[in-house]
This record gives sequence, C-alpha cells and structure tokens, in this order.
Amino acid sequence: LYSSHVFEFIKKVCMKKIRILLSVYAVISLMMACSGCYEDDCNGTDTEPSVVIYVERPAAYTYAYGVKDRVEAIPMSSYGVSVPLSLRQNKTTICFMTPGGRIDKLSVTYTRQPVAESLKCGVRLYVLDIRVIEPTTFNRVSIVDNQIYINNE
Amino acid sequence: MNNRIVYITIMSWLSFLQAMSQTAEPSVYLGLEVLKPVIASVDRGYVFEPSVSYKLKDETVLRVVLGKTVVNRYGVLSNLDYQADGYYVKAGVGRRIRNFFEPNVSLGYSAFTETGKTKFSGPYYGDWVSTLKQRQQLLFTEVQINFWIKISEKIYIVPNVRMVYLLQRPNEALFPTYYVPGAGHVLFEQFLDSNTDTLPKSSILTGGISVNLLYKIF
Repeated sequence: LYSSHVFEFIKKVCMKKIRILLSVYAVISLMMACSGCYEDDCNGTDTEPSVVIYVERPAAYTYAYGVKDRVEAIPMSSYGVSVPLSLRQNKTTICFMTPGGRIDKLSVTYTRQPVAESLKCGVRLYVLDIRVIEPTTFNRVSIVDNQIYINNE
Repeated sequence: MNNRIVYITIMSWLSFLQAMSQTAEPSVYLGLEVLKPVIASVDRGYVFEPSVSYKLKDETVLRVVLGKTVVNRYGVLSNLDYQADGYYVKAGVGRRIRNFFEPNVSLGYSAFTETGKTKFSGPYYGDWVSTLKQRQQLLFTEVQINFWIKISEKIYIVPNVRMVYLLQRPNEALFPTYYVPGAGHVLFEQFLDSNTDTLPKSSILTGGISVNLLYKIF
C-alpha cells in the first residue's frame, strides 16, 4: 500500500519532468544518430584499410596474420579472412597457418594515395592497384575489385 | 589586367629611379618588421623581414623588402598539419606627406613550399604520417599606407595597413593554400571553423597590419 502511494506521488509530481527528460533524450539520440550518418559521408579511410581474401578451403587454415614484429592472429571465417594492409609501407605479407604448422605466404603491393576531400573529412587515404608479388606458395591467386581470391586446393 | 598592374608598377619604379638620380642627399633607412614575428610565433613560426628605404628630397620613398617566413597551423582541413615555408621580395614606391603619411605601392614575388602532414592510425601495423608538398611561385601587388612616427633623430616606428592582391592564383592541387609569405593569410578563420563538405578556396585578396622599425643611416 505504501509503495503504491509513493508510485502515485512520483507519477503525479514527476511525470511532467520525466516527459521533458524523455523528450530531451529523444532529441539528443536523434542528433547523435544524424551526426553518425554525417561522419559516414567521408570517402576513403583514415585508418588501415582491410583487404578481403576469399579462400577456396578456409578450413585448411587455423588463422592468418600480417607480418610485423610479433604474430597477432586473425581468425579465419567461413569465406576466408579480412586482413589489414600496412600503411607504413606499400607492401604487406600475409601468412596462413595450417593445423600441421605449415605456413603459406602471400605478399601484396599497392599504392597509398592521400586525397584532400573536404574541410570536414580532411585528408583521406585510398589504397589502389593491389597486386600480388610473385612467388607465392598458392597455386592460383586472382584479384577482382581489390578483393583477393585464393585457390588452395 | 594583371599585366597592366605589373607594367604600371615597373614604369613608376623607373621614373622614380630617374628622379632619384637627379636628387642629391637621399636619406637611407634600414628597417625591420616587428609585429609579424609576434603573430607568426602564435602559429609556431617566424618572420624575418628586413628592408632598405631611400627617401629623396621631394619625400619620394623607394623601398626594397626581403623576407623569410615559416607559418604553421593545425586544422586547415580537419586532420591536416599545415606549414608554409618560403622567401619573398617586394619593391615599392611611395611618397611621404607632411612627414607622416606615406601611401606606397609595391610589387612582390613569393617562392615557398607548403607541406601538409596527416597522421593515419594503424592499430595493427602502426601509424603512418603522409606528407604532401606543394611548391608555389606567385606575383602580387600591395598597397600600403605607412605612418611615420619619429622616436628620435635616427629612429622611426612605422605602423602600416596594407591590402594585397595576388596576380596569380595559388596551385591548390593537393590541398588549399592557407598562407602566402609576404602577402599574408589567404584562407580566413571563419571559413575554417565551418563544417563543410567541400574544400575551401583561397582568396586572391588579403590584407593586414604590420609595424616597421626604421633606423636612419644617413
């Protein structure tokens, strides 16, 4: 009984304030949502771009990693793997680890092109013209629209 | 239009040089700009701008200015760290009126390099700083009004207001030009503070104030 009185009191006294607070919250949420859309207007990238590598038999590998000073595993998915490209140089080597401990390697080269887009977006980066550096341990590698297809059968 | 301005400035120079050769006892002043270095230091840069002025008997003033400027600014674009670094030379002619006002017109040449650095984050391999460079060579004309304030027999402080018109538009192939050494800012703060989807364009008309310290050699 006591709690229901408290509830009624809150309902009567505070309902108007709660409505105002909810309205303010809705407006702020809408503004944040819109600002999110606004950020997405920028083209190019402001961080390391990723390249999607489609692998014919992804289960043949436990994980992949980009060559740098330490191994940082990137898990394989059902289609293959998405691997970041290094911005510090115009070349990245990607290793694929098999369950048996064998490593298959793929090196790619590309062009890094910074472009001034707008006052808001600033300078954005485009990675263009991705090419495979031969030799590679894979039988067949092809590139279509900056996506890499590996045949490991 | 631009060629006409250059022609008029050169012809004015030649006629006043002729006048100078016919006039005895010219006064010679060494000058140093003292306000621009303070303003440039706010932008983590510097300005060194010495000058030589010849004042003829008929109060005609011929002036040559040399300058070296480095100006920095972060956020010309949202993530662009901008620097303009270059040299300039200005040659002008004016006439002192009532020992105080001196309207002056000059022709300037500025050669400078603009550098734009942007840091791209690399959470996997590490960050990378890209560096874009633009080299510029521009002619400009300047109209100044100098105010000669006598401090002592040999020393003058000369504040001035100036308006500058760039005879050539800067090459903005990689990013907008923010500052032209010798001319001044060509992108203005009110445009940089707005959040727009386009690239700002520099203005060919600018201006400013400066203060020269003059020392009379003879």
